Amino acid sequence: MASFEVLREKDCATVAPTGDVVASSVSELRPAMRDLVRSGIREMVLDLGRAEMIDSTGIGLMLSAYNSLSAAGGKFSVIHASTEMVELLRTMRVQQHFQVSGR
Amino acid sequence: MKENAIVLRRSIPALLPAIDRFCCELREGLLAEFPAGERFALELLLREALTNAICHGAKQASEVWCEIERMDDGVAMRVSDPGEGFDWRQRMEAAAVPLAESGRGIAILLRYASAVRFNESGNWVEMVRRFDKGEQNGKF
Repeated sequence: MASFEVLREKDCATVAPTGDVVASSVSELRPAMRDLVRSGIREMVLDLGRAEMIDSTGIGLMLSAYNSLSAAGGKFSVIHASTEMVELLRTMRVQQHFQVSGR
Repeated sequence: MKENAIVLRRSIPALLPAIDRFCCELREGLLAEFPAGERFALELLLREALTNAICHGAKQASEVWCEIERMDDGVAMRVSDPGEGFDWRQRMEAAAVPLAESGRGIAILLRYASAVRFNESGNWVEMVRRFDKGEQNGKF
């Protein structure tokens, strides 16, 4: 079973991991997100609604997606982050690059 | 005053999915005993230290070690691996480049732990997190 779901509407894709976005899961998420960017989407939304935890590897994945989409003139954002995740992303100063909204 | 006590000492397979299994077990057990406002930070600290040990320290080794000590006003967590270690002094001084896709593990340790201590070679780390008195609520 895939550890994430993808909802694609025109040039926007929502990626919704079914669990945590951490070192062990990034290896599966990264190629899928890379393929979506290469397919020509202009916007990607990472839905953290079912994640309880993110870590530095997960943050790296988000920045990778942001960097790739920005280079192509696209947009990246995070939705449904828990209060603790929002605080972590704020502390790591990634919120200045892309929008992060809570649950 | 309560005395400090080692509440967990465990070897963990040097594989990333083993971190998930270990943390899942902690969420249902030991972490649930700590104040709710502390659990995310404690798991995050453990994950960062274990990931660092497995990805950069363990190399060909089959396991890393974790120890958790309950303190009167917080928790001490120690992670070690059989590797050669790394130059933690340089990493502790270096701030992550804003858009870099890696290099935030140590920054997270420094932000979420009250104190971080490495051994000389860098293959052992101790993270102490002291709880705010207002969040203990007599649960500890």
